Amino acid sequence: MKIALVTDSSCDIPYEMVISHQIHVVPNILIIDGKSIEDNWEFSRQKFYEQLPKMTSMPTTSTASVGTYQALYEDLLQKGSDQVVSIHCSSQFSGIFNAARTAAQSFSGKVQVVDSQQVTLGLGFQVLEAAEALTDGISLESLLVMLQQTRERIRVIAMLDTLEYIRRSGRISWARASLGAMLNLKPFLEVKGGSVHSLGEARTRKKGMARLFEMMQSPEPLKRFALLHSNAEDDARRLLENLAPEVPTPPHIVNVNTVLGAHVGPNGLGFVALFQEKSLT
Amino acid sequence: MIMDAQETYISRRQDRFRKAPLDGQALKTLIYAGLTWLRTNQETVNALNVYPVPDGDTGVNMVLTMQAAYDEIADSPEQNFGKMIHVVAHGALMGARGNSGVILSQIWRGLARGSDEIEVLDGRSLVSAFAEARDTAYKGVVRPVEGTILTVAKDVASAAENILVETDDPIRILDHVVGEADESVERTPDLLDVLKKAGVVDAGGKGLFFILEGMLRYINGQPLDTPLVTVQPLSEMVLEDTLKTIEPGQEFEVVVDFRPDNPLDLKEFYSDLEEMGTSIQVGEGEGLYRMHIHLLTEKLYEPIEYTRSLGTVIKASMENLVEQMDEIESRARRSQVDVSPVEKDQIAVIAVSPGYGISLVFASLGVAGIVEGGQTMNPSTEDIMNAFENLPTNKVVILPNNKNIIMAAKSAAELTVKNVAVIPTRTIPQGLAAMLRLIPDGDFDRVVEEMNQALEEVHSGQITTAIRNVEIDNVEVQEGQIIALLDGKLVCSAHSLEEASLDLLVKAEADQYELVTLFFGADISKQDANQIADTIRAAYPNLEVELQDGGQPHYQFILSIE
Repeated sequence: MKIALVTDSSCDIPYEMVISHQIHVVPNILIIDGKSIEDNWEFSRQKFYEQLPKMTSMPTTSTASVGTYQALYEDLLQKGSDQVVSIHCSSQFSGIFNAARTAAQSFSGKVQVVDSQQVTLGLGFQVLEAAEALTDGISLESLLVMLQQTRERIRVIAMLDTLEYIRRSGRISWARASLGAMLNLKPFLEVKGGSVHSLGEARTRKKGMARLFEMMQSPEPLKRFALLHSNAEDDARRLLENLAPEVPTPPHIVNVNTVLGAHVGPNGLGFVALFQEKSLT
Repeated sequence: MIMDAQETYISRRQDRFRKAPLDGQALKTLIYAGLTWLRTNQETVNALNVYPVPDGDTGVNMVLTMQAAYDEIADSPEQNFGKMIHVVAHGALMGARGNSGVILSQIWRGLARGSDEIEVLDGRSLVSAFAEARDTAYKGVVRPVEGTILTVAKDVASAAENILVETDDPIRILDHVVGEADESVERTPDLLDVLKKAGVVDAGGKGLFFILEGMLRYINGQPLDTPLVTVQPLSEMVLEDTLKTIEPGQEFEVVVDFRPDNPLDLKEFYSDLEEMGTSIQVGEGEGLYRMHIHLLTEKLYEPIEYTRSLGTVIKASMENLVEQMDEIESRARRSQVDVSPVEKDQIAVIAVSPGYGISLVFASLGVAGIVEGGQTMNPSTEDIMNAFENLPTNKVVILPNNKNIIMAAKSAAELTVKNVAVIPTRTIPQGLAAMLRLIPDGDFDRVVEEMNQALEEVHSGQITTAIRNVEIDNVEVQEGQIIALLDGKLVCSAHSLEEASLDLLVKAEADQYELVTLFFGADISKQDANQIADTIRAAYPNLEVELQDGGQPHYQFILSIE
């Protein structure tokens, strides 16, 4: 049985791996000054982050249409796939999952849509794990179970350079971001179980980076590891240089996708870790 | 001989007191006497602060603690001494304010423990109660320091034990103990260097002495409402804070300036005023007297008529206290800050905040409760408890943000069934640094550990106006100068706010840091604060300088250097 893998551009899987694993990535949509732009490989993330602070109106984000997903599923099933597994960004942050699920309804069970409950490589690592398992010939049922277990071993943490963007995005439930008297803060966030949790704040970038570095020290052996940034590659490399050698090579360094980036702003730093399965012995 | 006459009078009074049993009702009377005498002398105790900063409210704190203790028993008909003193101890514990108030409450707790089975107090049980009080007070402090109220409690216990070989009469024991307590207080500067340098005795010890002496004075039939020191220099009279000491029933505040025709007989003057009202203060400067009193509406004109009978009234003013209190209360209501709701099993943080702006900052960081208070108004154990008792979670962290509130916070932590950790934050910047480490859904012990570690990440500066002349920490200070403290230590005195701010930053080696946050106080305009922030920016181009409206009283600036 042939199973095709679909995800969306918020997965942040590097281009070469998308190609080598034959993963189908649907670009999400960015709306800047009323113009829709596809978050595809031609779109420069670096330029986007450079321009973000200067934009007069905040960019908004959107999902590819139900029709786009429907057309892709249909195409894959016609070209020899028996099943499609479509894994997406947490349904609590975006409509991507819903668009995909609506599209899947026309294919009577041949398309399985999975809520990764994650963002960026928290989603991407689940897709890569699925791709490798498919090469080893895993069944559909086992794949779905495996994805669920993988999710439990993922940690996604970020330090934003400012609360400004996430506050304007309205994507976090804690009301405190809307309060008036606000110190200049660098918030720490963790994405877990599909939603964002606060891990406190730092007042200066130096202290924030030190704390992020502390959080990166893994108590358990790692299977995959990625450093995330939004146009702060130098800082990301600096963090990586000091990391212990247990980090699997090569670790990814990823300028995060603009759909997420529009909500977190430039100069963010973070990491995604996938821990190894605990042996049963 | 006059002394002989007085001694005879006293011993006759003591005999009269001996006729009734020292039971629960006698204890009530003595507590009231101790409270009254302490209140009469509270300004004396307040004045005994080491640093020339406006935080010398040990007298107020101890009075409020004793008042809370007395309120618990005021209407009680209890005859049993042991039972009554337990109620006193509970009241003191809940009402404890400031470190001295908390230690005082521990002394009452010890006295109560030592009197468990006592129906009527006798000398032997009094001696063992004093010993238990000493032990409980020492145990209540992590690192006991000699030359404080603890030492006085210890000396009281020893004095009681020593005199027991001569007499087991509780009144003679008390008489002896009061004399020893007085000497013990006088010795505190020999034991504690900071007291010696500041030229004062320990305030908490002095307060304890006044409580014991008040009891003795009552037994001896001596007045409790006339302080021994009566007239202050006019220039030092501070009437702003008198609202804090309003007793229920007082309706008007009257202040009269007058020039007496003949030298005033102060004793008579005071006792005449006491017929009219309370909160009496008298100041004098170059023959001009200023009289301050709180009284009922129907007596409003009495002090004016009275001073007119003594000489020429220059100026008289009156203010409606009830209105003023209402205004203060409604202002307090207006300044209420919305805080984050806390969910079951989340960690709730309670922060003590001295000003509206600082409360807003704590609220924006996600505290679940704010207790108003700080430098000059220390919240009671009960105030702190009330802030978290009804929250829907068991996990609570308290940020006292002032060294004089840490003990009351710890006491609140002990009294509740909730799991409460006190992070010993001594300043607002430390409190904020700890707050940044809050992970509401995190593991409680781990979050508490991280919050504790955060205290070392930040340096705290405080800038205020010196309230008296002193030389301390090798800095010479004149009253009225601007002084700066770095991490609680006096580092400079200056003639302007700007000079003090810059000097403080030099002492803090600010060029080694990244960010300075200036919280400006209620006494300074945003414009002035901005100007100083700009001066700092110009002096430290690499430093990020952030200005925040703190709203704290007395302190022009609180600085966070990190």
